[in-house]
Amino acid sequence: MTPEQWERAKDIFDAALDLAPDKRAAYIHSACSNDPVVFSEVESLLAAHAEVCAIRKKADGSFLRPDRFDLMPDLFDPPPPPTPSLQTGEVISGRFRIVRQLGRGGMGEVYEAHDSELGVLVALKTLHPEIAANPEVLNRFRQEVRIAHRITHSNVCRTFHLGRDIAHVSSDGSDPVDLTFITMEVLDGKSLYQILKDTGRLPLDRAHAIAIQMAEAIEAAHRAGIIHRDIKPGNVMVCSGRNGEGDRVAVTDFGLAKVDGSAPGSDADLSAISHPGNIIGTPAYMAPEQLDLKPVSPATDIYSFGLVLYEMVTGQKAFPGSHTIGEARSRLVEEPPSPRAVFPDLPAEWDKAILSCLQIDPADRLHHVTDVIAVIEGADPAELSKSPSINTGAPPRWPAPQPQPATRRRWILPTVAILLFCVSLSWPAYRLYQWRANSTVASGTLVYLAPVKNETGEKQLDNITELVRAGLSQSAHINLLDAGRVSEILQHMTKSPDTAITPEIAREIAMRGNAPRLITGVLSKAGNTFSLAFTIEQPDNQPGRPRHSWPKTWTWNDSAVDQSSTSISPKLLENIREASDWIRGRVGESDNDIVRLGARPEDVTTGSWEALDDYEQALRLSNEGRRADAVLALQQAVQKDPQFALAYAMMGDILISLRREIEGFRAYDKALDSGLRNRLTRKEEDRIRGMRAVDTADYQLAVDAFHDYTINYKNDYIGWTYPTIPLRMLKRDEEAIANLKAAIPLAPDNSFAPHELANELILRDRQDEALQWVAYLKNHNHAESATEVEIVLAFLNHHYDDALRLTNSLHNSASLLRRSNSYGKEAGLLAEIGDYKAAIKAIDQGLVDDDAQNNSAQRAERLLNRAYLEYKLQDYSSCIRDVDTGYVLNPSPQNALKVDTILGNVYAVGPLPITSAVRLELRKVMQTLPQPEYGNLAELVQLRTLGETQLADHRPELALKTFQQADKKDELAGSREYVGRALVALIAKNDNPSNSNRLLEQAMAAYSPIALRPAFIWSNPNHFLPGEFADALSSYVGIASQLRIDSPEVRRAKLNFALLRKNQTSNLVVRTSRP
Amino acid sequence: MTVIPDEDITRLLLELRKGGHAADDRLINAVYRELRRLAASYLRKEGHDQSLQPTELVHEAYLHLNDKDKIKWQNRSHFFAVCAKVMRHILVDRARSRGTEKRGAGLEWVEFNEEFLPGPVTPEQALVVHEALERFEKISPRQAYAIELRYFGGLTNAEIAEVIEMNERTVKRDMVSALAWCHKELKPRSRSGSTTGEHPKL
Repeated sequence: MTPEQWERAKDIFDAALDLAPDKRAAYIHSACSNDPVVFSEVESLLAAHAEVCAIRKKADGSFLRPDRFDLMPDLFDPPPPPTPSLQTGEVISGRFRIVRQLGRGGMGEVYEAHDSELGVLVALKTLHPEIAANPEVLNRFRQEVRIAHRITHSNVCRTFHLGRDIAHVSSDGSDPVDLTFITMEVLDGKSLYQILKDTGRLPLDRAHAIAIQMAEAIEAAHRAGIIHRDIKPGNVMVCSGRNGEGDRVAVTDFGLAKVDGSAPGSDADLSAISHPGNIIGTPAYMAPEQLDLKPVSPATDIYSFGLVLYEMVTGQKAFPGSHTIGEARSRLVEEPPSPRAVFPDLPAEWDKAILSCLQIDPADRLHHVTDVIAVIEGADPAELSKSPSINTGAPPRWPAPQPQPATRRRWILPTVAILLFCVSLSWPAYRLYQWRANSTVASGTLVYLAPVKNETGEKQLDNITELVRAGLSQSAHINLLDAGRVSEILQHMTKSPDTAITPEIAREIAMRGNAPRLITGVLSKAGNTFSLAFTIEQPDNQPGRPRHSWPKTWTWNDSAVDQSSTSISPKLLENIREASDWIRGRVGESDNDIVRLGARPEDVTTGSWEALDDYEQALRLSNEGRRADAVLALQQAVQKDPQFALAYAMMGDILISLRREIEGFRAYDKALDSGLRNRLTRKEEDRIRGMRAVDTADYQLAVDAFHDYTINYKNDYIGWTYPTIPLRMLKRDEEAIANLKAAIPLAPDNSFAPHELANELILRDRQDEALQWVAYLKNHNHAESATEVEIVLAFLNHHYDDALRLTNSLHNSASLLRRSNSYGKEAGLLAEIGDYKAAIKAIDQGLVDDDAQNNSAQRAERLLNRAYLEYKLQDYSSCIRDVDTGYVLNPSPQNALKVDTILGNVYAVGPLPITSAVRLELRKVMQTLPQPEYGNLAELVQLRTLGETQLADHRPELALKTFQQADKKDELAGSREYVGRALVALIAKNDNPSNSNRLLEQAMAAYSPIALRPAFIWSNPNHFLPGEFADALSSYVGIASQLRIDSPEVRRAKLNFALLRKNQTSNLVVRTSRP
Repeated sequence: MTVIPDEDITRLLLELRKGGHAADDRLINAVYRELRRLAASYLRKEGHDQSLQPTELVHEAYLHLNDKDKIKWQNRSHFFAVCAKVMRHILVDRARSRGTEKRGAGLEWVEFNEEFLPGPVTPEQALVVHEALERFEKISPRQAYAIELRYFGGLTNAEIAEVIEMNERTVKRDMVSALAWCHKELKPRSRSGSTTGEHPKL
């Protein structure tokens, strides 16, 4: 931000504060159109300002009361309205019974009421007492009623009654108040403003239908001698027709209307509220003569009518950026803009009709609003203008105009403008409406983004969904239904993952996924004109149609598209970004967040079609479970766009899930590389930082990264669930539990959080609570996930047969990952109960499955597990062979730690010839140690391997020192088996009974983290070798016996061991000398 | 103990003179000594949470100096203007001497009410505000000065108007956007306005 930019931002901010809050967004948008830095600065200033105001309201305002807020009239920052809130059933003036409140505005409230005299429903608009006390306002109100009474037309909103209820006593018994109100007809629909905002350009037939009825209303007013002076979309209501009739249009708010004083029936007192010389109306829709303070005439309304037509058929304002009088004045000199410049396919008749409304000189415009319709329908404007005052060529649906020869003269009057302050007192008409549906959703709501349909015929445009997703996934307000969940749902629907998603299927996915909103999009093309149509839908209880929908279309001309180009057209990207911002705004995200968390889609994905194509392919492959192929596709993607950070991030995720940690880290590091980092969204960056830290065992860093994630994305379950393992390792289980409980409501159908919560509760010995979450998983169609928890519970309660039976049931899982893990789990269970041979069989079965999946990392893990079992069976040569093969297959840091443990144990008990093989293997590990860039984990591996080497060199005192250093790097909650082993070796070497008891006590403590927490190894089984719990328990119990320690803990451990190994006594850990 | 470096006092004087105000070393030093004494005695109080109320302090110093040294200031406003600058130095020095370069430990979001007169200010909070003001000075020196006067000296709009020789309306106007700027800048992990570089994590 330069001082110049600040200066601009400050000026725009100041000006925006002078506008009503609902006008600000549009104003700053146009005022900063060419400078995004200024725009985002102003937006964040306004948001900060709103927060400051909120704080101000909280503050008690002690001393040095500020004077600066005098600047902001309370009109813009209204105090809580003092109007009595009328209760349902309350009767006003003995006649109007309140049915319900429809809305609330700056000046009062709007209710639906039953008029007992006429027996109809009316809208009852109350005025705040202090506003009603202002005679000018009251007169203005009165005028609105009088004027409206003079026009009786079905397209003019009917106003019935101006009433006062003196000393009205509210039903809640509060003090009596004077109530001023008007009654008018209840309009059940939407303002044209809202419709255009929601849907953009209207189809011509709809625009035509609305134009006809508007014209009828305006014509009726003109005939009664009334000029509306504030024709704009916000003052046009469109109500859905009943019984198959078309829409009914009603023009509202004659509050600014002007009556010819000499016309029959006019009221002399109207002049009493005139303020000569002031401008009235809404700048964006004002005619040049209004801006120039020249006399107004029916031609004034015709001009504004032309602007409304322009906006209906193009979806854009004819004079964008004319929110202030100053800006609007450009239209005094500028040629009227042709709508065809925006929408080239607009029929010539429309173009002619609109242009003949927008002439600068009122005399050059069509003379009757009905003539405009005639031109749209094919009449010749030149012919029509020949009959200056009376339109004889009106279509038959118009009643013949009464001859009023004096009419034209009467319009030309001295400028007398009626204006109160500088703010339009008209109520936004839509406040009078019953909102049947609202597109906004609560923060944290799940939204399903269906694939955007490409109807252009250009193949490369097939992949724009990811660009839209890049915009929407940055939202702090909504959560997108993730791809994994979508493919699960498709599976439940018995559809293949690559099924073409029709609107019906999309609705069913949203319904099954409990997503209250669905977003569908279609990209189409006619000539060089592209259209991107998005619809936000609220699914109904059947997929045939939505309950509600909110569509909007973006149209642009992209003649310069080079189909052979590999880079994505800037115009397309711009429109995608607008569309994604619109969707985010429409579902209720604050403008501030949209700007703050709104990196451009191409910046956070890629600007290359080819790379995007590969990325899409990878997504698809990954959803089909073909993770290794997905990695290949991502490698292609980053070859085409080396800056494609998101592709690297996804590659890292997949590689790590494939246990290819080293490659995975490399991919993450690439994504977080200083050059690429800014190509990630804030969300992705925090997530990857967190994942990277988890995988390198830097748990505090991981917790911090996910904490950052939750600051911006408190509604995303990821930030709450992903730190579970780090917190567990840091022994902060209660925090993990609290986080998981916060996460579950955010993604109730996702199994991850309830599964981990059950695990955490089991770790905290709260099995009853854990069982509730098992039931929850079952109720949410996650039976297998529930089974995994039940396995742990069965094991802890010594129902080993049940645990094995449940594990075997997972061998048939449809999920490859779960199936693959089930063999490891089976081997683990068997090893814990001491059946090592059966455990090896389970592993061999798993190896067959790995071959089928061609998963070498998984294979490596199994070989190491098998090596440990072989050591237990004293088959040392097979053990060393499997260690060697397994580690070569995947020399990851986690595997290095396992190798260290296996070799260390082999050395401790193995026969002499094997110990040289152990040294050899350890040296190999030393040589392939992970690089320091693997951070904490690399240091840990280094220390562990060094310590094991020192042990193998028969220097246990040195090894102990090294291991004590490793202990500090190791996860707080994890195993310290190596420390125990070194201590035991030290005792054996020194054979010094004076301090051996102390050392034994230390060794017992080293075995205790695993021995005393049987649930721990199951909370992260991949970390452990099969039977590690039983081994730690055995050592713990053995030392306790040797030391003759008898505590409740030891007794429980002994009982556990007895139940686990029915026919076995614990190891005698300490041997006085090596064999 | 840290003292304002001489060049800072010189700069202070130059600034005041540039504004056409007479001020001399004696006055500045007197103010400085007095404020330091007051601050130290506040911060020494047992069980004190290491926070200060700059406005109270400045007012107390004013009463004290006016009474004791019979120093004649052009007017109250200029006295406060000097106090604000000195106060800023004292608090920031204190924070730095306590080794709070690494921000964040136990420090919550600095929240302002509309007066921009915080309740008790800890040296850590002052440091954060000070650094934000340094950034603000680069894009809008006048507004940054106004905030300094308000935050560290408790000056009212009218007093600020007098010091910076603008009309009060302009000051009021300036205050609204300056306050919004500070507010957004001092929010935790604010990413907006990224051109100003790394923001402290509060």
